[in-house]
Amino acid sequence: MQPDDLQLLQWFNQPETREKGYTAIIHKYQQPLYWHIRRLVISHADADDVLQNVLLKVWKGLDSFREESNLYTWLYRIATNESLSFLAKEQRRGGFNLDDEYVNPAMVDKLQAEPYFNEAQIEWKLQSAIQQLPEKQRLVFNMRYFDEMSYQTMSEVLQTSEGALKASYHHAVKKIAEAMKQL
Amino acid sequence: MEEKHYIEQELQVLAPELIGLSSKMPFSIPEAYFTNLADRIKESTDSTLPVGAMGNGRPFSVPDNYFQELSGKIKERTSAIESKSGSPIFSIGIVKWMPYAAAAVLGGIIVYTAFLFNNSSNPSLQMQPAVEYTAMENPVPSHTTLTPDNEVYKAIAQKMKGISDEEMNTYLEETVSSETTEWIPEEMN
Repeated sequence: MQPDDLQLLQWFNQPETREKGYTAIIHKYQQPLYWHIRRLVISHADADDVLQNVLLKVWKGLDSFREESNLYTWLYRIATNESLSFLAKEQRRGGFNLDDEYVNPAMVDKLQAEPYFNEAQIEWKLQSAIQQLPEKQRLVFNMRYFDEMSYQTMSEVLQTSEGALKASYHHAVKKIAEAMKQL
Repeated sequence: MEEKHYIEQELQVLAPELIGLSSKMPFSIPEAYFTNLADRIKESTDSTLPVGAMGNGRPFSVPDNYFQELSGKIKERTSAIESKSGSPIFSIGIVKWMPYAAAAVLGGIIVYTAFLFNNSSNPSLQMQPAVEYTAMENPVPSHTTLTPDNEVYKAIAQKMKGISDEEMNTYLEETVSSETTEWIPEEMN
């Protein structure tokens, strides 16, 4: 059984158990964070780079982490910001704006370059449809559909109102359903 | 999970065809990727430890035998420059500038000593203690007026009874300057 977040933070805050706490945090959250990043950046090499940056930032920033906020939410926020910054840099765009309707044309190409890509398989079809969404909707759909995140948690991670997130998710679902019919 | 139930209800309304689709990720990852991840991250954090956790060791590394070979490399380069220019790299000898430096230091000492001496022999009024300054401003206490009825006057007159005017004048001429006598009331002068 995994130790709870409070226990992990207590270990991290004690110099003698600091490494143990950090390792336990990695073990507990590495997979959800990796998949969250991977769904956004697509390639494993990029996801690996971003995840390493995230975990280094966690190591450096955990001292200033306020325990009243949720560790899980905080980790997801860092992972999301790092992933979106990575994509913005890759596109040589100034930054990421959750309000924009920007669709990254490179995402479909990236997906098709994956080693086991098979457009006949339903999982790949779904992924292809997701990559045709604007980044904001792609992000919200992934967090809700795959990570099964509540709107409240999503709102904390993305610092956006629950109403706006619901609207984005609804748009995304409709678009994906439509795209799946075409594929 | 409770949230999963809400998500399915939501999809039921929006797009029922998305319910039950495999949420399995089709992406591949290297074998044992998650097993080794923590170790790889720890290797990276070793060089980014917070200040409090750092020892006094230097975090930088140098190539093997760097210091052993350094003097040889420097010598090689200096001799190459020397042979190009045909003259030593450092043309300004210590002997040339030493007398000027000594003269400058000596001059400095003389000026500083003169300044100190000048200051100590003529202390300005501002630099004196406040008590002395007050004493100069009020040589005679303000409440003391030297009239023939005054106690102080009487005491002084008593003490000076046995002294003749001639002796007093001689004494005053010898000891008291003209400036000081201005303070002495007419009756005593």
